[in-house]
Amino acid sequence: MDSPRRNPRKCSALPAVLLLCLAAVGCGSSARHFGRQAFRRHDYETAQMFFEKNKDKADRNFVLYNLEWASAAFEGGDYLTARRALETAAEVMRGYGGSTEGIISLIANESAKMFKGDPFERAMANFYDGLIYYRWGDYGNARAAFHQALMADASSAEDHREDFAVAQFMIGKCYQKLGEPDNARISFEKARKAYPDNPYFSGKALRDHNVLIILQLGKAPKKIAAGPAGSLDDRVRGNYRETRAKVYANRKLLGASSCAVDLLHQAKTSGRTAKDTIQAAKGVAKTGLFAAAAATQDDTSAGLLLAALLMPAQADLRQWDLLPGEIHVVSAKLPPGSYTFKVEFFADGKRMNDFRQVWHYVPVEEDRDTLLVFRSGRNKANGHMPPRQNPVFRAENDEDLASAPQN
Amino acid sequence: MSVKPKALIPVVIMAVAMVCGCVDYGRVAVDSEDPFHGSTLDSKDLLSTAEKMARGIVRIPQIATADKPPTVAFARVTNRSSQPLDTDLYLEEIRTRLIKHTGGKLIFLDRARSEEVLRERELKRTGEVTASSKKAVLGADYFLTGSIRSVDKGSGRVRSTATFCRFRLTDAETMQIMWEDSYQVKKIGKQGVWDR
Repeated sequence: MDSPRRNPRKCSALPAVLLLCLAAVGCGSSARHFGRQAFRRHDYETAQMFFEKNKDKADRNFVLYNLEWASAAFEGGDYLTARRALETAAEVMRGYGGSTEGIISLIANESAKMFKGDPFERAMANFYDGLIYYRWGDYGNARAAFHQALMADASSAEDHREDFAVAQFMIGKCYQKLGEPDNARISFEKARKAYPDNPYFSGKALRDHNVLIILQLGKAPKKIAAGPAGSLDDRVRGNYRETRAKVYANRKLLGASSCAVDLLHQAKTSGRTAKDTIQAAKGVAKTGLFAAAAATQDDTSAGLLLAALLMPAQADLRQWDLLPGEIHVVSAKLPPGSYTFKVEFFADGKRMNDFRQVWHYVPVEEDRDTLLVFRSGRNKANGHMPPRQNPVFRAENDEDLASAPQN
Repeated sequence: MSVKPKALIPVVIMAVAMVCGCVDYGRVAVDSEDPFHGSTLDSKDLLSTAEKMARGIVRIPQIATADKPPTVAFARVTNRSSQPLDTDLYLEEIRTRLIKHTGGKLIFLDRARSEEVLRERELKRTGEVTASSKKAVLGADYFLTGSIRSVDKGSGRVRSTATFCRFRLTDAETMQIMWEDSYQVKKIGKQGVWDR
């Protein structure tokens, strides 16, 4: 039987409408894509410009858009904007809204819910907030923000609820500034419990120090699908090699960095909850349908296969991937003045020359602590010619760049 | 089996609606409840605190029956709660209500502008700018200060936060506390299963 002749005019609107849909989806996605590209090449102003386009978009990724905007603003030194973005994100992360989307996510794909981040991501949002307050000398609000970071971590697995050591350490620093030595001592003790080998977690040593350096190493732990039919999420270490840093001030070694929190460890110890049980059940059901479709030899096989394909069980793989992999600290005492700070990063004990950073005219103030935050990255603040433009060196891929002879 | 183009129209409309999202904006009262509920202080708590403190200060006998309007300066409000707060906003909101409702029974000193005021006075006295009158800088009779603290507890998905906003008026000569009051609120929240 011949199919009825189609009226071309009735069909012509359809491609245009579909294109409009794609364009509407594409605009937000491309801004994030370009923003991340700019972030990775340390062009934080451009990254901020792209991420800002999405900051008011009231969809299930609202928190993620603001966290990305906050990351770019923070790394670029625009602390007012970073604070605003972090506060906007944190209000939703701390709140109890999004129930409609949440209920849908229990039945459909998990990513239907409003993104609020894993416990360590919530903790990091508050940690950055605290760093900004600390930098401004507002130790009361800084203490409150670091306390919020600890509270975010409190929903982790039972044995790992007070191990966000860098927040404990910063609370201790705040208490020192607020003139509460007993509370400071307790906080430093809690930090030492998680990282006993960190020499900077000894309160006594820090009392006279006026320079605090926070070093962000590597890349955020990568979220991957795991479990039956990819219904659960897991984390693996981000792709980076630096494991340590040394900081120099006016060519004198200030100190070697020591890990204050490993975000992969935090991610892995978030613990499983009832939500994961529901996800696993969805995954098992989906796997079962596939198996049943394979085993059935009759007409119902196609129906079972379709049901298996359509059944939503995918884990939510959204993440705040502009975070670092680890946070390290260095603490020291310096007379007030202007300094040249050099930061060297190391992988397996070897210096990574293309990761060296040099920052000139950094002031150390007289009447308050100087807080410096550095982030590792290739060819950031070192004036190196980009390898692919170097007339002497040619590399096939990043592995070669890392192992190339360095001067 | 062929699909008629007309049958696709509702699907396309749904797709467009989903892509555009459900946008919902509107102006609401400052003291309305936030839609995303949390266990921390919000604008409604700020206004309630300011209102309660202002009513309490107006009734102090030393202020209600003073021959001359007493002068009040702000001192720092300490934030000892678990929530970063703009503590100056609380003092400013209390001041706004007091100025509005006391009709001049209290004089507030703008110590935040001290530097600009002293500079302007210097310029007037050296004749660099005109001066319609010369007055003495007022000293404070009282300091308005306070503290915000909280007690936080959490277990699994449930979290409770009890916040205490305490304000006091201190005599700037004798250090005597003339008045003190507090606004207390406790909020309990339970995260959804989907929220970890």
